[in-house]
Amino acid sequence: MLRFRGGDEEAFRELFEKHARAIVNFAYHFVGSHTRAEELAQDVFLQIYRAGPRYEPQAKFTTWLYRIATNACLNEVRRPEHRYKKRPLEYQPDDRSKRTEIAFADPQAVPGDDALAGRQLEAKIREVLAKLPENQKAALVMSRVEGMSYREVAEALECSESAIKSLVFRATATMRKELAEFL
Amino acid sequence: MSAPVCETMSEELVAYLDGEQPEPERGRIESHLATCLGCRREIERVTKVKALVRALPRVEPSAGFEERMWRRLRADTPVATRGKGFRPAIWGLPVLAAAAVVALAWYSLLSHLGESEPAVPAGGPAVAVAPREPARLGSAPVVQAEAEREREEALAAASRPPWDLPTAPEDLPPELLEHPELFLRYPVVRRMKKLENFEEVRRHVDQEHRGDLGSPLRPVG
Repeated sequence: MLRFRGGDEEAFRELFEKHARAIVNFAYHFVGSHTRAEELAQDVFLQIYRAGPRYEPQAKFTTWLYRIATNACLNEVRRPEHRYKKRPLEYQPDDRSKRTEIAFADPQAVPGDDALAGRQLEAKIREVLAKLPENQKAALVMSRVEGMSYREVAEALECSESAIKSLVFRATATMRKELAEFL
Repeated sequence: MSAPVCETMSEELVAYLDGEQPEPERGRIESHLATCLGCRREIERVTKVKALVRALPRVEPSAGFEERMWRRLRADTPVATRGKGFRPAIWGLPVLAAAAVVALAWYSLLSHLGESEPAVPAGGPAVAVAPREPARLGSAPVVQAEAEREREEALAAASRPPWDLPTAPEDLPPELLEHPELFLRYPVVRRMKKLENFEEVRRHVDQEHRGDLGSPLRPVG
């Protein structure tokens, strides 16, 4: 990012290539639409491009990136149009080409090993995730899916580590309750 | 009957599993787990939930994602902003209103100029060409200059973009297509931009073919 701030356009391209996929995946958890998630990820990188000359390295780049991404996603889901269109994140057959089948490394994690059970489980997990309050969802996805530490999540969401601990716990508790039949 | 989970331990267990507990806390939790069946089972369930969330397939960008990004970067117009509908800035409405007033004033000025042109009489466009007569009767250099000017004017008109023509060429009467120089010599007709006005030109061409007119409208040079 410092290289980009110094005028190196190639550095921005490298940042995009390194992080864009993760941001698309992150945004998808909020908006539930592949197309919209891609557009939001592009918006995030456009913001970064515009803010590049003013960038001050006060935190890790990824922390700053996820702060921008979270704000973009929250703005999106708070739009009345989004609320109107919002549907539970169910498994959509037309999205099959865009996503891989769910595959659990631990065979104990899935009752049975057929693909249908896997798809039903995936649909259920996405549905429960979609219903979580936005702050819990953001904390959970950053922590569990993106592998960020509580401290990094706290910096990205601009709150305390203890608040993140509580958010992740509540999200996990909801997931555990809703997915009880699969455990 | 399942063993109860210690209420004070629940939140600590999740952070413990996430590796977010400092060392002294970890030791305390591990000591507790050694003696509490309910919390051990809870740890197993939370571990499974973690595994399930982590195992969710990642959504991959589509094929044209990167290309679209660079296109947007060049245009630099965020889709999310566009998606919110047109919401002009606070100064946007006065600017739009001023632009509308200017456009209206310009349009009425143009209309007024068009109306102030001498009307074409029913008998043909002779009025339009009448002012040029004295020039033809003048000295040879004047006539030559006039001819040169008209040729340039014709060339300029011919090189105008299609949208500046009164109508598409296929809509023009065939006589006009045969005598484009005639059409171009009628500035009034050219500015009228209405197909019915070509009827006047057509009548004139007919008269000319019949020999009713002299040769004032013949292309010069």
